[in-house]
Amino acid sequence: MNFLPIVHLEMRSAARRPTTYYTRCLIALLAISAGLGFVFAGFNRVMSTSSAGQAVFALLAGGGYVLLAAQAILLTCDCVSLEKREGTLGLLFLTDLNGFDIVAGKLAAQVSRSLHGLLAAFPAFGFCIILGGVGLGDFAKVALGLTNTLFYFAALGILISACVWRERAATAWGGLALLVPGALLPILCVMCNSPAGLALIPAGAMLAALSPVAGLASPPDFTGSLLVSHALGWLYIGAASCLVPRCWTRAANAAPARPSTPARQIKSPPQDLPSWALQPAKPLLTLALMVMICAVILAGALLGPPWMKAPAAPVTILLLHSVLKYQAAAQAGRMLAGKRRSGELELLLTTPYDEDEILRGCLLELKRSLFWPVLFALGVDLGLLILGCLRAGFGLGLGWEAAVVVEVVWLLVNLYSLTWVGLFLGLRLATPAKAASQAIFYVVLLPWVLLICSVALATPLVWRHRFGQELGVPFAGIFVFALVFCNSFFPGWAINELRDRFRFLAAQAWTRS
Amino acid sequence: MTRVLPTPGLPAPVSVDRVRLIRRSTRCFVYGMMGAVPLFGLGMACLTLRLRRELAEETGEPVCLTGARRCAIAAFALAFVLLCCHQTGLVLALGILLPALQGYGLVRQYQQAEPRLWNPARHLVYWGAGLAYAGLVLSSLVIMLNLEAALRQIGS
Repeated sequence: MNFLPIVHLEMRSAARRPTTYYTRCLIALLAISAGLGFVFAGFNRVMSTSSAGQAVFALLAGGGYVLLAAQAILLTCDCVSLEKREGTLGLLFLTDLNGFDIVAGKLAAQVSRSLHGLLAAFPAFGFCIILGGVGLGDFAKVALGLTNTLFYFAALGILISACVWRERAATAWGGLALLVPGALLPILCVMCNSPAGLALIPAGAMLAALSPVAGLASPPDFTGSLLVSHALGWLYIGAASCLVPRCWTRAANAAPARPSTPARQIKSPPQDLPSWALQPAKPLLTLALMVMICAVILAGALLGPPWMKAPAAPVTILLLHSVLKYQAAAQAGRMLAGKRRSGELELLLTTPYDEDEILRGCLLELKRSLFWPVLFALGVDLGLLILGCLRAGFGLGLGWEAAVVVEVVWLLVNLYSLTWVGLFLGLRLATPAKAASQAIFYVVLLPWVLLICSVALATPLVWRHRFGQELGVPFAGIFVFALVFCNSFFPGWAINELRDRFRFLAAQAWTRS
Repeated sequence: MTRVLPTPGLPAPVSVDRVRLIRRSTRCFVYGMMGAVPLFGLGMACLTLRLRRELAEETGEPVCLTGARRCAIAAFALAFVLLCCHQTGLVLALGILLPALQGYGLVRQYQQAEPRLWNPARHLVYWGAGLAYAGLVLSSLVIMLNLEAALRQIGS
């Protein structure tokens, strides 16, 4: 028998998938575009070359950290639990495979694409060395830190996936795991000036690698942080490997634990909408997470170092909105997919309900689950808006007021788009995690991708010209245009497909599964 | 028992959900209206044209897009050349002429094409497509004019 046979299998299968190559090319293109923009800015003397090099280095490293952590958690948090729910995990244990083989195989399958993308993006870091201000040692540290980030969060996701059964729990714990060790814990540790706390998470190694660029006062030890967080990653994998052979047999008991909704529906046929649409939603976890974010950032602003005070309000707003967008995409992605998997959708399609009513029910359920979190976020936005106005004066703080209003409008539009695109992709793609991540990419990230690419394309045109306000306006126009395009085309496409081909999409997936 | 034989010369009957057809046609019109907004309606214009093509396929209506496409490509190439020669007035004239030509082409197609299946809301599909074409042309004009202004600024 081969060493790690599932890893072999998954690697071969990943090598045959065209998306592996497309993703790698896209990530490399993005990194090169961002790098080129700063290279031209540096050589056009808009910034000093060394500061341009440091800026692009910090930008690529920070962006890479966020994207890798999010992708690793999103892709892994439901991979083993999906097998458990479908009852296929037990079949693997009929062979010679052990828990570690399965966990390593799953890890390799989910992480390979991100790892290829990361490797493709590394040459873009070379621009920073050309520009100056960044040495080879810094580059090597960031490369190691990013790889470790990917490994740590993927291992954490696998552990979550081995522990939970339900899809919703997996996504919720995944989001929590991303936010707490990924963002809140680093903020808290920096706030309390605790390098020991930072050593436990991969953000510590990243902060240590970026400390010459970012100018941190007391950075944690790079090697120690890297080793400790890496060891923790292996610990998570070990725990998952021990858990997997012990918990797959609970499938038979766990499935009927949750009363099936179709049965309730048949017993009490609803008047207008499917009954699951009228059930009270439980957004408590989201609300708790949002309160925690506010508390941590407020504590940071009040007790932390001076540099944490200024961006506290925008960071709070952006984090709360990001949580809401993630929740909308994740819930929409698993809504129809979950109903299809449980057989509920099949039953619904045999009733007199038509597609529009089923979709209306889904939307109502989503609205109910997101209503209180959205209201809370809007309340926080309003509070921060008023605080900002009081601090700067109503006339003087016009820029802040406009920015908050635009951000709120953007949030609401994004939530609408994410809901429709998530519902559609949930039916179309194999797993809800993929649906959520693709919906977020199409609706939230694609405008930024287009902006970065257009900046990179435009920079050769303005070679030896100073970047001024006259160039800022076209780029802002391009960004707004991309934003409107992504928030009109993709939801429109999803609405068209769902309304016109709902039965076909559902049936196609049944055939595939 | 009497057997009804199909009449020769007539196409075989195809079952089509007429309500769905009308809904899609109405949606095509609504999307077309949104697509008529220059620049911001570009996504909806693309969706309208896609929907129109699907509806035409469903109702068995021949859609001759080749001529319109050639005309549009030639017009855009001409507009680009004119812009490079700083002939903004001529570009604007072309921008008015092109939607008019496309509108005329659509009217002729509406009158001449015979769909295999009757669609009571067929006129809405054509209105939607016309509006989407107009939006596309206007968006392209706005983009070209902005590009020209930016290039001129860089040149100076």
